[in-house]
Amino acid sequence: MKVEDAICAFCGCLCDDIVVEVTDNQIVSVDNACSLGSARFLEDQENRLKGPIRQEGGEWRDISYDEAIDATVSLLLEADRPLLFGWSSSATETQAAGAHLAELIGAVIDSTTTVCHGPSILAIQEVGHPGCTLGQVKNRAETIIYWGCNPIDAHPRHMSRYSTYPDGFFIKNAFRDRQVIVIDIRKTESSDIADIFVQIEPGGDYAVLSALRMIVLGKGSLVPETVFGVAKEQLLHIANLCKKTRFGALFFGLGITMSRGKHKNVRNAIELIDELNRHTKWTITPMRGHGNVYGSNEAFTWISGYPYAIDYSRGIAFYNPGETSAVDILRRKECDLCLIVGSDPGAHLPHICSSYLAQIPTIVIDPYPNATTHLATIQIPCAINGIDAAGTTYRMDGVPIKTRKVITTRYQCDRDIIHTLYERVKAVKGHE
Amino acid sequence: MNFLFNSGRTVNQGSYIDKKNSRQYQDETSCCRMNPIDAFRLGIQKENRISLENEHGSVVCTVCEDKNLPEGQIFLPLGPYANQLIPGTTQSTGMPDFKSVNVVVTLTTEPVAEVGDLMKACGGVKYEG
Amino acid sequence: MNEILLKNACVIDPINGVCGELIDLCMKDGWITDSVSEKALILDAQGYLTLPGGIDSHSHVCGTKVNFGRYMSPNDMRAGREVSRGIMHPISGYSVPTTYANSYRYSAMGYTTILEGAMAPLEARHTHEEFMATPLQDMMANTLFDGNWNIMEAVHNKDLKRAAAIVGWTLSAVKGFGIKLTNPGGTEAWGWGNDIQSIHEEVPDFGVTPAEIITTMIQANEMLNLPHSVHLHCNNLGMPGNYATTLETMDLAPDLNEKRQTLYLTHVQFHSYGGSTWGDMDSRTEEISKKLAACPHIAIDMGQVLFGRTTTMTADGPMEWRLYTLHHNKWSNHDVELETGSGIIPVYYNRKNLVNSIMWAIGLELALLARDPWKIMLTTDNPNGAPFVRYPEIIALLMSQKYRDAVSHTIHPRTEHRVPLFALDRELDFYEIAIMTRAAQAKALGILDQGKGHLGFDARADVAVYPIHIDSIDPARNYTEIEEAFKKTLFTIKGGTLVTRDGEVIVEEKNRTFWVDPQISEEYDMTIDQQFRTQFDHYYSVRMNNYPVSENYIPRGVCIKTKTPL
Repeated sequence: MKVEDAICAFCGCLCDDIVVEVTDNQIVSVDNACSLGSARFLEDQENRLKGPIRQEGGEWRDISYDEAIDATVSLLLEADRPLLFGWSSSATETQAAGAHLAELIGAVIDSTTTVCHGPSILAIQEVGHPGCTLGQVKNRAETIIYWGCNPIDAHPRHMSRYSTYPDGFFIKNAFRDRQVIVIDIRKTESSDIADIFVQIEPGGDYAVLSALRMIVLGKGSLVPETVFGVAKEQLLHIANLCKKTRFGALFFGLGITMSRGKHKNVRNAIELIDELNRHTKWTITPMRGHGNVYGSNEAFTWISGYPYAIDYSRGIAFYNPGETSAVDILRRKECDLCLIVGSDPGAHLPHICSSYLAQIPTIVIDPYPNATTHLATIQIPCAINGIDAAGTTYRMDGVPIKTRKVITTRYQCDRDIIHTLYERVKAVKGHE
Repeated sequence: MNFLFNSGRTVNQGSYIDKKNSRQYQDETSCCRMNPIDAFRLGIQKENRISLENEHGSVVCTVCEDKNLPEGQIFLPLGPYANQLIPGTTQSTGMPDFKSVNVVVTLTTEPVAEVGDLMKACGGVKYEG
Repeated sequence: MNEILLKNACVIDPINGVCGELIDLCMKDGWITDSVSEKALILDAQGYLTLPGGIDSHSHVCGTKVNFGRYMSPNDMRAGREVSRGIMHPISGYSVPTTYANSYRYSAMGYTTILEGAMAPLEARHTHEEFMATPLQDMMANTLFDGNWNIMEAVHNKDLKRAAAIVGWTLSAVKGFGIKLTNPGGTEAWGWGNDIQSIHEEVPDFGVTPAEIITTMIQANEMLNLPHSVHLHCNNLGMPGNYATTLETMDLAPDLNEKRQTLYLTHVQFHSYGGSTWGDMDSRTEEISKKLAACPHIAIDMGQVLFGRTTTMTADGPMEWRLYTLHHNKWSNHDVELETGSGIIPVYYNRKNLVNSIMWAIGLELALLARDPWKIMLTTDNPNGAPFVRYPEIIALLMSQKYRDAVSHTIHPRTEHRVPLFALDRELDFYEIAIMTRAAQAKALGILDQGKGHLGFDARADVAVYPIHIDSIDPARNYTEIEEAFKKTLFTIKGGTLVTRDGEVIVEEKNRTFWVDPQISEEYDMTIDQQFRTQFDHYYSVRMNNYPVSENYIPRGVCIKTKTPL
């Protein structure tokens, strides 16, 4: 059976043209997906955790779902300062359930945004976000800039679906009518296919952005001969291209959010785009990593008012990244329980955080054994968004798409698991 | 030798992301990219391993040459190996200093740890299931 | 069996011509009825003013740009935060509250139905997710068509039936309620960073004018028999001299519908400016009101501005950009492919600023100059003019010249030279206020048939009891008490359930979503139309099969099927 227009929820591209061939409830082939998506669909079943597992006294054993839920409920009730982390692979229905659970138990809830595009959000909160949906780029953009990101590796179909390669309503021949500029501290596969590659010395993004802004503002005479390894001639050339193009789209990634300056780098980029909008049309879009990390920002926001790092311990929604963000809470050893949904902090957070996770009750809701499994107390496998569960997922540009379920398994959707935990905890708290 | 250390996504690291305990994931995320000239200066042969160390931690990696990397810079894909070298401070932004951290690189005969053993060293209990 | 007996209600029900009668209202299973059993919950309205539940015919509360406004404004979130109480969730937000905050605060004010001002079809799913989290009001969505490529193509080809078929398909697919046009043609021009200056200026690349888009959409709307009329945010919003555009636009509208207006102009305050620059700008409400009186087939809402801080957000991308160049505040923009645009920027309306003072006066003038209260509805284009929680202030201002005079001393001293407000001594009464805040909306939106907006038999049991004894208060003098009374009901009943008591929400409710499903034959069905499918495939960035919103997003949808000649 062919499932057409299936959605791959691996990365922020959220490609929705995947064709999945299913025979006897097994995925046998996948078309249109990149290697990341193909691996996600094809290698799924062999990697799943068969059932819940629990670690006690240095030993792992298989347990029942009932025992896993019972134990998790007890731990949640006992915790004084729980942290609910992850969420970026779950559908918004699950993320919303997580936010309500956090309200109920006065937890801190945070998603992987915190170590990815959190700084982008901080910048947006300072200066706003002049953006658009990806179809605007496809149909109109003559100039594409990829800054501090390597789409060929991290978002493999981005260029072919949305930016560099596809023809659009106003771009009849993308190959001829579009130019791609890659700006990075190192050469990558993406820079190899660019029309122009600008190599910046590490830590130089802020200064280069400032230099471009100066030139666009007509104050180019103030720019020195080189800025962090970039020649002034090249900066003048780029700025001129940007002012003359009919429509430009800037995409940026962790190269800017993670390096020195962090959200100030992003702010500078946004302000450059604001300035360019006085001359022509430009938009800026963060290359969101996980398939539904933007969904976590959306759901957390309409419920709490804030996109991530929300602390409910005071009975209000309280937001202060740096204080209420997962890495800082774990580093300060402040939480006494961590519930992790669809994410792998053991692999992706600094090891001081991993070490602390090993010391506190850590419950993981994730279909696969991963790095965090070795740090966990309990792991409960669940269904996967876009494979054996369907749900609302937000693409990197904010467009919401509903994934399709292509196979049926006995795994529960993580939304149902969170609901069960919520109802069980509420029942106990109601009697207090 | 001192290096500026950078980490980021690679397509291979991403394709094994749901198999973090696999050999392929380990190989990809523990393979340190280095400019051939720097490798030559360190006296690295093909099967050698290196130890990366700074005030936040240390980790043993394999080496692969990448002429696209400037001299003085090394790169590890995002993952548990890279994170041994990253501090938990965030400058009040929530975001750790993943990029542009300094490390000292030396040759070593230590083996590359499995992901489970890295986590065990953090205080976890390795799951073999 | 859910029954309520609301005793001693001093009912004003303009749809049924009831004005201040003391009635015992019976409600059963969500509807007004003539009797209830002894099991009914008995509530004592204490002779207080009792109105049908409030209806907001234009408010930005749910969807992509609203949520953008929230997460880019943590300062606004902090300003409006409240701790969780009882069954209420903790809430945040002052001018862009979270969904629960919106719902609780509207409910405290007696509102039970809201029309979301703008929903881009491509992002409808998001709007519906937020509708589900606004549980105390029945919701419906104005669906944006102003920059729609397929529509503009049909307009260019003078193919009215195709235009109607596209609208019909889209509304059914995304579970929308009505046709919304925001700066028609302008939002497409904004895709290139430009705007449209006149309703007769051609949209680049599409060869149609705003006038053509508007007139075709009006015809299409009536052809589809939609409950509401075309809902239009005119071109040139906020520009000095734009009253001319508004008058020209009004001239475009034919009279095609007996039951309600054929054209609904929204937040007309922003479209009533004379002069040619900020320096000589003045109020042209007299011209607008005169035209409105001569056009029984047009209805408007105020879009009142109140002094203080708020956030502007609209599909009118180029207008928000202009505000950015004026205020240099944090600015967001979100253009939606093939469909529309949007922009967001916080603003501060300053009573020391002449332009802002004129804007404040204009909204009030529109209401006071209107001969027919059924055609001028109370809104602030929430949150653009002011947060909706300030509606009571507007009510009090409209009911009291003394209040208006008191405020006039605090605003820019030259305002009186630019506006006729201070020569207007009209004071609206409770009956007129009731019309402007619910009865007129029910009629204009075409939801009388759903039982909304009145308290006669077969009405929905949506009831708001305001702590005022209308016979023992003089609104002209006691405007402060009027303002206080409209802020918080004694009881808000929605769908026959007591949801709010003294401003506190007491039940977890589940709302309904109204949507339309025009019945269209295969010949005009876009699902199988080759040209439509091919265009979709080439130019959208999502697949056509993934575009429609499934019915699980509207678990309690009220589907209004309409007959069409298609």
